[in-house]
Amino acid sequence: MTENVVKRLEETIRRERGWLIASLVSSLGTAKVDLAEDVAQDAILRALSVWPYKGIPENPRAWLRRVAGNIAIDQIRRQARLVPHSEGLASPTPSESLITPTLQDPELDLLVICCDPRLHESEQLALALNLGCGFTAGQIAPLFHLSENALAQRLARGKRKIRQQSGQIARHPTRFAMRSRLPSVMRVLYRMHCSGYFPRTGAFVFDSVICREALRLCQLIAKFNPAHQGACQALSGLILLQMARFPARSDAEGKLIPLDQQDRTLWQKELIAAGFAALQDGPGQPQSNPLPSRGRDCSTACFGPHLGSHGLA
Amino acid sequence: MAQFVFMLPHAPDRYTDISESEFVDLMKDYLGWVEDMTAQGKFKGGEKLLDEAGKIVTSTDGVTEVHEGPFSEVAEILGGFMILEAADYDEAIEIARGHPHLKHNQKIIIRQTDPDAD
Repeated sequence: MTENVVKRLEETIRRERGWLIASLVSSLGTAKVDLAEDVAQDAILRALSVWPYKGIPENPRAWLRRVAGNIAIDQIRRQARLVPHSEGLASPTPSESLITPTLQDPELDLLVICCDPRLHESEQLALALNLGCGFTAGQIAPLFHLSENALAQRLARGKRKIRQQSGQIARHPTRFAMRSRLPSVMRVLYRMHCSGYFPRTGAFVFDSVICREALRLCQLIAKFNPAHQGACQALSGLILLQMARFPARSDAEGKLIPLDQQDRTLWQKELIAAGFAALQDGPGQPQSNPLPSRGRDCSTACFGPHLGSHGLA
Repeated sequence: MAQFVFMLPHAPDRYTDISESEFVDLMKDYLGWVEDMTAQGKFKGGEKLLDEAGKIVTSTDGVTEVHEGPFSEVAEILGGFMILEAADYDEAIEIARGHPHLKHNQKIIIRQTDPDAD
């Protein structure tokens, strides 16, 4: 079996876990974020024990969602039996809506929920990576220079605060809070990209998977929220331009190669083109540039050489 | 092309005492292999059996009896089976050699299906 198959599988599992949690939180409510996580994990384990025998289904996401919905219903029924009165009202009645997700963009909902203003920015980022993108505590911990345990505690603290959200924002986060939380959302996505972009402890590792995840979420916001397209295009452009240089950024031993020594023929032309296109079509350009100043410096640093080397400046 | 049933037995406690991440790693191996075989057009399907001993129905002198598991003498349980396509037993055995089940467990039982039954 090739390395590639395993890598692809890992990525699929991670991606599906993130989507499942998002989709379950959108049906179960933010108060049940822990249940959503458990259920998503159960569904994935079930898939892993059944799929080897039956093959991967044509639509893995639909399969997982159906199985997860059934597990969730079972668990809620069981809890309802154990706690007949106290929690009965708060928990949604198990229904068909658990099996078929109703919202079109549960992942964005979850991202908005993670960007609760009561949370510290790094808590928002950790939660977005964990709940929204499906990375495990062990995978995220090195990004924050924390032990897995310390990071797990940070996540638990964040989830406690998330569970307390209520009212319209908790039910329809994107509709009611996207506008007010947009700057936080953009900052989290920008930091997500940076955490993949900058070298970390130990061996040089940059993780294009994390950058791609930031890009994907950013493009998802633009798709569902045309009003925020400007901000999204700017950030997408930056991410694309920086990702274009990934193949040239490290040598065979995985050491970082500075910009001026990079082999420019390795830069990915399609990504550069897509990056410039994103920057140019942003309608009216970002109303308020959502990137922190470090982000703008970074983008300037990155655009200059690109423009120069392609005779565009 | 002939079809072969691969029966995959494992020790009863094979998957009960391992961590979740170990289990995930094992299954990724299986899944990757099945993906490979599917891409080559050799994997034809299969079923995972529930992790329980099951039941045995016997008939002795016209008396039907149902025996419930667990059967204490059972050294292994059948985890499931897969159907693979191969030209002959030689190729089926070649396929079995690369099967992750041999790496993570000890045995694969191969039986050819009767082509006339189709």
